[in-house]
Amino acid sequence: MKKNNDNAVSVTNLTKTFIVREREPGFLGAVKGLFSAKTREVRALEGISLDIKQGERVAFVGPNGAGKSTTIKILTGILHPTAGEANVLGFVPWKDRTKLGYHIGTVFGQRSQLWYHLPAGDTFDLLSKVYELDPEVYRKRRAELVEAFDIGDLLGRAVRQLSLGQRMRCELVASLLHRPHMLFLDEPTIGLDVTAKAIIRDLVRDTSLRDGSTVLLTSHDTGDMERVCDRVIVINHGRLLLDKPVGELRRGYIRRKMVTLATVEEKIDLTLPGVEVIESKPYRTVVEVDVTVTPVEAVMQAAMKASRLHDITVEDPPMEEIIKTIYAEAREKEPALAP
Amino acid sequence: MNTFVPSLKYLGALFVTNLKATLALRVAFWLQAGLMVVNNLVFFTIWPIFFNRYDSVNGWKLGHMAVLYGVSCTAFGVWVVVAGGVRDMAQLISDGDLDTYLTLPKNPLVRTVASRMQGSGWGDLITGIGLLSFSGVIGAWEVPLVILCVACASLIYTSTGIIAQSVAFWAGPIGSLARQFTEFLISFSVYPGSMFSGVVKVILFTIVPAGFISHLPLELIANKRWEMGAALVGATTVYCLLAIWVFSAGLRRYESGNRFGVQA
Amino acid sequence: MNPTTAQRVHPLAKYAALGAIAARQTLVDRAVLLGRAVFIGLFLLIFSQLWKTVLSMGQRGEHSVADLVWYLLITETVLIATPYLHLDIEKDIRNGDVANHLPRPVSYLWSQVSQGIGQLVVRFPAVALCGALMAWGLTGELPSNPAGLLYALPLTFLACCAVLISNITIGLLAVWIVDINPLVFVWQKLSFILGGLIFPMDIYPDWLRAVSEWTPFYAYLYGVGRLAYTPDPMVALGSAGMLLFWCAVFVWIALWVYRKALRVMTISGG
Repeated sequence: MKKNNDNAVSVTNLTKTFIVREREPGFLGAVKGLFSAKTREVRALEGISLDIKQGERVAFVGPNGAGKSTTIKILTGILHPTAGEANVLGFVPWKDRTKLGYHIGTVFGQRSQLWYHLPAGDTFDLLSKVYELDPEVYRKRRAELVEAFDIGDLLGRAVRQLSLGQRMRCELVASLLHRPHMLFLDEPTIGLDVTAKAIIRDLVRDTSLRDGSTVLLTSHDTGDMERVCDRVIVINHGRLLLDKPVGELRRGYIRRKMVTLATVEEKIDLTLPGVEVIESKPYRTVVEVDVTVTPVEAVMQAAMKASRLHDITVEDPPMEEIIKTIYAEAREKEPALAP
Repeated sequence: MNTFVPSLKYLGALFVTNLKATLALRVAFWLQAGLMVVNNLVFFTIWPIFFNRYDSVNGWKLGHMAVLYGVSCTAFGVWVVVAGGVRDMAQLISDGDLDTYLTLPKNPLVRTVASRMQGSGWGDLITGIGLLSFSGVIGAWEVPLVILCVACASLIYTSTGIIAQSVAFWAGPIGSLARQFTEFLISFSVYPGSMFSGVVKVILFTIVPAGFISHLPLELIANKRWEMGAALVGATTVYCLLAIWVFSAGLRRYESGNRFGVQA
Repeated sequence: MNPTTAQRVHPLAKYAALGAIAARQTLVDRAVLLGRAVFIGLFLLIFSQLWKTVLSMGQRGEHSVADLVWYLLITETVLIATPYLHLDIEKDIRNGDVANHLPRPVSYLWSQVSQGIGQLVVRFPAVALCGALMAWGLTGELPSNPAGLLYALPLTFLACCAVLISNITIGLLAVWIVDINPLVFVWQKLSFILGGLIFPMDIYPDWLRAVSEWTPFYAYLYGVGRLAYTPDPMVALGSAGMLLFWCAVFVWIALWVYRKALRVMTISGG
């Protein structure tokens, strides 16, 4: 077994096949299903291998059903893999789930661990007992996190009265009380507005830097991986497609930006190299800019010259676009592997 | 057994948190508990009416009915106050909500059963204790015996509840069916056991163990025979072990993730 | 095609169609039907055992075991076969769906009544038949004078209709009170005691019985149930009279509440 002490996570050839029951509709179908089951195999992970070093912040991206959640669930001990090996902080998760529990923190998307009708502080107190924290150590750690996450004002209010962003900050504090060596975050910014997203991202990054903890997060949002992580792992159909530092991904794949122009004139004429009109409606034009050819600023200047603008927005291409590009590349390299 | 004491402590911590959460909605709590008291008392009125006309059911009189109903009611109250989460287990299982409990370094069964306190349970407790005190059958000497009976009965309620709800690991969302099972158990436990015989009696001491919830405790309190007590404690142990075993078996299935289809 | 044909459809035909579709829906949902049947079976089992035990010990009692079990069959059928429309109506009102019904050329009240009767047409025979087989199987006999059942059959259905209308009225009250559950709760408990759901009122103390005679619960439970062992045409006529009186009262209240509710809904938009 190749076990490296620097690695917080090492995974070799992880495979997971689900047996899905096909149930017939209706009451009789359900009864029948109890005795004879028609089953179908769904392959969620097809041999994934990766290592994550202590202190690294890794984003796990891919479309729905790519296998992100399955991987996280295996690494936290919730699911057993069909085959393969995994080691998280020196434990085999599905064998030592309870022991591993002391060393990891988890935030699962919209699944709250806070008690809905109570102030978050009550959940923190309960968790201090769950993780068997020394009262003095707990008091200090809690004070430190309350300050860092700026939730002092929220502690007296029942969780149900908090906004989603405020609640997510409390969720994070709840999962950090026991100073976990590793943090698993499954869609931590889902449903948040832009400001709240930015706050959460900074907090996760700062905490990881301060505690030296490893972070593995899954997200649909490219912003999460850009602001929080150093490294990106893209998977699809249960296979690893790409594993690169974030900077490289940006340079390599995010070379296109979408610019939406709302104009006073009905039409705008923009002919620049590397600029392609995607959508042209009266008073609204969307162009795709290849920033390696023409920088975005140049496009904006040209647009302002050509017409009077109501509004302008610049966006990264959606994650799906980047992943499409990555697929295309994967297909070129290894035709057999790509979907 | 080295996990027994920490689990008990954990249960205590969860109980305190649950109590705070229940009291946070004060008005709703008093309303639920109060309505439950009224409900139980209305239901019990059939017995004074009945004994106004008939002398006894196989020797059991109104005071005995109060003990029978009192034990069942108190035990049910203890169950849903301490382990009210059992009533939602099937839902938690089929929605995949055990995930967050599994990443904690503590026993997931304890966390699951104590995930909620049912406020109305306090109403059951109040009615039950009231009926026991005013039955006129129980003296000071019998109090420890009654406590034993209530403890056993609430453990049997809890463990059969866990077993019924855990079927969800295999069969998906069957919450309403599992609750129906509990309703049956309650229904049988509040009528004199002496009137059942044959196959029904066998069922009442096996599949729908109302016999252990109230019929045997009533006999035990009335006759104080040690072998009855032994049978009660023995049966309770068996149901508890069975519940733990079924949940663990289900959890292994959950861990290996056969519920993919339910999620999709 | 004559464009006026559609308007010439008799108004009753619309409601008949609504009832028919509700009946078909109930027929398809077999799990619920089965659950109801099992439930009535359970109660009959418990009480047949109770009465056998009590009456075998030579205790005084003018009713036989069979009489008491068939009594219970009738009273339980009234409550178990009747659909819980108040829950549907409360939901309609709470999430505003009721607004979608208002512009239609049917009255919301009468469409609920016809759907309720449609469901009842399926549930009543299912529950009554399963219950009757169970009662017969458990006691091994019909009531001491089975002729009473002939009177009981139509009156039990009528009693179900009375309960149905009271349920609908309670549901409509959701326009004013957010949570109707406490109200439903009180209504159920009163039925339980003052209607003689479990025991015939003959064994009640006189004062309680005297109080209950003034209530609708007496009419739709005990009044019908007693026919199981009282095959007297005059008693049946008395029960029918009481029942019709209370039906009329319930319909009158329902109409009054509906008119008030309609005003609130059309002003506040549901």
